Amino acid sequence: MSTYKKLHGRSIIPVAANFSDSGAEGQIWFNSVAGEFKSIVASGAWSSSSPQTTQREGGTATMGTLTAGLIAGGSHPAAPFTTATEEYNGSGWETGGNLGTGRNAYGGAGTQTAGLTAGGYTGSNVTVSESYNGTSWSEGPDINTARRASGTCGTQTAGLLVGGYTSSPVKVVEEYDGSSWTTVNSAPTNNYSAGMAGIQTSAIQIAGATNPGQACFEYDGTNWTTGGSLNTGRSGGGYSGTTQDSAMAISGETPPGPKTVNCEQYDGTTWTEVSNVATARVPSGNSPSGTKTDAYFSGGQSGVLLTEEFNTSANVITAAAWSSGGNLNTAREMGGVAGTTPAGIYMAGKTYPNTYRNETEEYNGTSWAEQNNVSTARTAAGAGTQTAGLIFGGTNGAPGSTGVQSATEEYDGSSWTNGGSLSAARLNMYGAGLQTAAFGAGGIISTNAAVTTVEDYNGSAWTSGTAMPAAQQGGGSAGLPSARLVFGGYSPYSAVTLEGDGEGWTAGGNMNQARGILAGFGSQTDAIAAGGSVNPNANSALAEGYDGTSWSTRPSLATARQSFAPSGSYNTSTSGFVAGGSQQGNPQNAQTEEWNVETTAVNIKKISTS
Amino acid sequence: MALFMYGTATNTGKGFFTHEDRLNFFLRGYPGDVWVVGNNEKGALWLAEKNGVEKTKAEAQAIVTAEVEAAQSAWDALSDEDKLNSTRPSIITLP
Repeated sequence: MSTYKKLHGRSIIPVAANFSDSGAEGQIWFNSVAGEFKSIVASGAWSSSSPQTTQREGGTATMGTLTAGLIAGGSHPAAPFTTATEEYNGSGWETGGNLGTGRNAYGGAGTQTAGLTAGGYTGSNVTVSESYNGTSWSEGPDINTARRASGTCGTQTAGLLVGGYTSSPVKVVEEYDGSSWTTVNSAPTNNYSAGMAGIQTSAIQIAGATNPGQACFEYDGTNWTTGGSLNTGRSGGGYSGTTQDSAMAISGETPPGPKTVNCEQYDGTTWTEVSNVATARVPSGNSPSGTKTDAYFSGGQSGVLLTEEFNTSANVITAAAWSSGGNLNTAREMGGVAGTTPAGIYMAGKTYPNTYRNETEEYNGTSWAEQNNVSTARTAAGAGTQTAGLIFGGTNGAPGSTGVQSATEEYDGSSWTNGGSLSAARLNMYGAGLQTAAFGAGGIISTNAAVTTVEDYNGSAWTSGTAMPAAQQGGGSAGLPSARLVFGGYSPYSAVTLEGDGEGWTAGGNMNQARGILAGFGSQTDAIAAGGSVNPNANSALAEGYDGTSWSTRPSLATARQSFAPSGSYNTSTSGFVAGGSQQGNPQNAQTEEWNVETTAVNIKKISTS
Repeated sequence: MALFMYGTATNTGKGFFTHEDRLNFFLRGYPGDVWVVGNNEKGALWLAEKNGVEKTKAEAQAIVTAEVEAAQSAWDALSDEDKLNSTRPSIITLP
């Protein structure tokens, strides 16, 4: 009789505690405490990820891989032929170099550092091709047949452009060798908005707008043959895959109209349904964005900047997201905020239009509770922790009034005492740190002028620090005086990031969205920016994360708002929150949103006979 | 199938929308307790569980517009000094 060890090369192990490392995938063990056989199993599933920053309904190709993706061009009513490019790092999107020719419905292929686009539509079909080097696009040789809505796959030096639409669907196929496009054997049917996956010598054309019967065709570099049929026909969805026998079809439109959440994987013979995307949509990229087992799916409809990830792993990945927290007892804005999700504090602030508040509220991770009031009602910058809080500066009068404050107050978890005063009274400062090591930078003074002034607090007194390179107010901030980070602002609206070490300032990577009066928390190398005002008439829900070098998008807040606080707070980016603020039409907001980081856990399955 | 559904629901604080909810469907809040919810099974279930009242897009837009117009009227009535501290709210167009 055969044994499990003979069949699989390893024994079933008796243990008292489950394995916890994904490296044990496939290992079966007997948990003697639970009395159960268990194993770690790899599986594929979709999870939500961070949104793009550029609105594009569709007609944009996605390229690259799950951890190094690329998207460019596309269309939106306000920008029908955008040049905007964004790069995906597996967590979020950041700005890339612009296309030379803004267009939609083009073909895309290759990688984030070696991308390729071909054809497309700018009001008429074009023959343009462009190559991307990870920084900028450069124009390449024209394709032979101007057309749009082609399927594309392959690499920057071995591309494949299939079908599309001229004045009618076509079946023309062109290959690219890095220097010129050559027309080769035609595809079996005239077709457009069909997906493509694979490489030039092993590719698959997946369904399409004039091919709603689910038919797929495989290409070996010379000839086309019929492949397995999809269970659900579609066009204009997302696609992934590396060869003609390893592909995935993602969402899309099922002719003549309904969108589908359905996804299917192909093994060279048969399409098999896998888990569905959360939101059906039609990005119309028709190019691969990853492999059969690990891919991303982004954009696709008006108002939707969504990105979803498909991961096949022995780990269950729970993506980052904001969740609701307890509501403030006093809805307000522009107060000082500090602490973490289970131990936060909101200090002072104002209610619309100009009622200045002295309330202090503590957050326990579930609800806010009122504590002793600060001495001087005002807006304020905040820092510290729930048991060692700090507010400084701010105002209790209109801009340009005598209400601008220099006072500092310290909180010990119970009561407030006066600290040393700022040498320069101002409001809307950047500010963060601890009660004994905080900084206040920029802001506006009583004449309503923005300043470059920087001051550092040691627990009893403020001392002058190195001035900021440019006057600014109302941005986000994070970190400590020895490793400080300030970003954004609204004099004028800015995406600029500055890193400081207490001795001077250096430029960091710009945010993807310029904005002011936003929330910020974390450290100089691991910070979150969220919400804010992008112009006097619009608020943002966008969140971004900073890794010490560059910003990329993170999952958005549920409610777009501004004026959370005129400063950041010294939180870790793993347990931050935003509270209060204002939104258009609702100037006092009491809502709290808590930041939940991405987590992974091994996928342990119980083995039973049923 | 429409991409979104629309409804009103009061944010009751902790647990109103969870980490898992945010992974399962699109969600965006607007004035007047209006919520735009991803139109899938889990989004619909969430709105029902929150005692939400489903609205058409036009109805939801009317609620948001009325809230903003009320805020605009309030802003217009502010003194010049008070106006310095804020900007006139702008009409929001729902996705």
